Amino acid sequence: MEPPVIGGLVVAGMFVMIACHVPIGIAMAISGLIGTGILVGFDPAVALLGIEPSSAIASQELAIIALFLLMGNFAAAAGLSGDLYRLAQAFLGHRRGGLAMATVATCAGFGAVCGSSLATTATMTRIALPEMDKRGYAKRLSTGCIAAGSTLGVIVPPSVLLVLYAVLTEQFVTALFVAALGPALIAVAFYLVAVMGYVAVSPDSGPAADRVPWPERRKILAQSWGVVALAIIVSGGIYSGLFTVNEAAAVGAAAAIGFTALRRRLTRSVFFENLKETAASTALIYLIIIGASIFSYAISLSHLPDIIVTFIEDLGLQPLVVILLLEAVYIVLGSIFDTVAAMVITLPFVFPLITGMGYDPIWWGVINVVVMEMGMITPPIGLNVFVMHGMAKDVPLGTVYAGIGPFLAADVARLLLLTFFPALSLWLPKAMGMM
Amino acid sequence: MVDDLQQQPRSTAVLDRAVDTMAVIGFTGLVVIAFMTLIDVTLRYLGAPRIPGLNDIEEIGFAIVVASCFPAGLKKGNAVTVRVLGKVLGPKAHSWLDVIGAVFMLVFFVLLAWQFILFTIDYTAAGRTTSTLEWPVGPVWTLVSLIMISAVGVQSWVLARTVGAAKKGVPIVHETESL
Repeated sequence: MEPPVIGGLVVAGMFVMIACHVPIGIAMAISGLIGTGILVGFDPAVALLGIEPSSAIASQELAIIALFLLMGNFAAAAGLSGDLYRLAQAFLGHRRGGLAMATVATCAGFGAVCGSSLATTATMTRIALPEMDKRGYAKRLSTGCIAAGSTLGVIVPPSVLLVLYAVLTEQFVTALFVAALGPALIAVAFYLVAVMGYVAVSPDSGPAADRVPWPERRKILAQSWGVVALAIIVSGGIYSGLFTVNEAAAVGAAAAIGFTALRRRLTRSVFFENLKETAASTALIYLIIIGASIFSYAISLSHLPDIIVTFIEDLGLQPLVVILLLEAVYIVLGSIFDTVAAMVITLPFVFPLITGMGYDPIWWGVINVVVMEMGMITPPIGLNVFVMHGMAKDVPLGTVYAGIGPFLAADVARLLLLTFFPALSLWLPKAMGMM
Repeated sequence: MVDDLQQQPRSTAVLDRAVDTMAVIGFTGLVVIAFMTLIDVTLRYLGAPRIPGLNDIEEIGFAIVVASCFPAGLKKGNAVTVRVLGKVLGPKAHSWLDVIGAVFMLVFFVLLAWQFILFTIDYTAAGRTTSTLEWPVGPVWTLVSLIMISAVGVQSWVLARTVGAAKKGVPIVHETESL
């Protein structure tokens, strides 16, 4: 049997196993193991099962993910997200739709210290939804801005998904973080415009609150020093070159624990619960990473990606058309699959295709994360919508989806902008001499 | 009969406590590494001598930290799994498909534990050490292998429980699904 055919069977076998309730990481590992066994023999294949997982669990690069998860959990435990919301509310709440804008700004800010979209959704539903309910906001706007705003955590650096992309494609993670900064700011700006558009069309959906006087604003600003300090420590440390990303993740985690202690919230049970929470998320991600590395190995051996690249080249499609098609596929995948899983399953095929067409891998990393992020709020599934609905059961799913519409339109506009103008992502890392 | 019914939750609670303790001990190690890095970065900033061999400590520390999360992850059944087919086919088929998933997970961890044991034997026999502090890595991988063996035990328990649920035709409620 020809190697590409074996590669195809490996992919088919993986999907059959996934359909049969085999966890995605395990399905990738087992199918990859069998494929490698057929291609080069079962002894080296089984040895691969020792080499790949042992290098993954001892990897300092991958440990960044566990450290950022630890930082995010303790940042939430310290109440930093609540501080950030009060701060944004004090400065934006007096505008029509101001609380929705404050929610978007808080999601972006919390993304800088958390990096998980689902955790941001859960946190912001708890903090922002009751406030917006109290001020008479339309459910469509309040739930829509939380579900959409929470996706910002994936693109605002430091992002777990960007770290994963960097590790799997052997790119410089700091360059990816820097490249994502511009697109993240564009995302925030477009979401704020979406809120403004929403309340312009439907003024009653986001009534303005009383203006917070300046002495009160200064007081709130002083109280929010923790989250500002953490964001400056982590992001400032990385971008100024003071820390490596590994160090920034470790320092951020230590600082988040320090803030929790300073605020007298670090009880024994809070400490243990956050460690358990971090461990559970880490296990989940590492299983997928280990599976993906074995699967990728088998796929590379089979030369299947080369066949796909040649096939697409032979179709004579414009590279930009291929990119737009891939983006559409990723949005659908992101709406159905776990984002980490969707990325790692597809990278062995898509990455050679992208680089083969001459596109920059850093640029594609940003685009890839943006489209996965869009998938998280795209009907008919959209995981963020389900997390939000799970926490606010009185709000029908249809209401949340209706509320997401303007934000999804903003996302499409941003995606097209980033696709047609790669410089929006690449100019900063180039200017900083990272590329 | 009453004893049997009470026995099951008690054993579950013991297992829960054991795997949670393992994860907490492991991840306390991550917290220690985070604080050591903070101190190291501060020392570097102040121009003072840095912590010697921090890289070595991280190299062996991360392996134990990450390994320690697997038993708890398996016990909670929180690996990302697509359960659409089970939902379409009904509760009985759903519960037996869960058994298939649990069997594959067990096979994977058995192979993993076996390979880690071989790794440990190789490292110990070769007297491999870390690069700066020259600490032997054999004991670290022995600990990692023991954690993996305990993960096999946990997954065997999960499989037994999943089979029990399948025999009753009632699928177990899982924390994480991607669809």
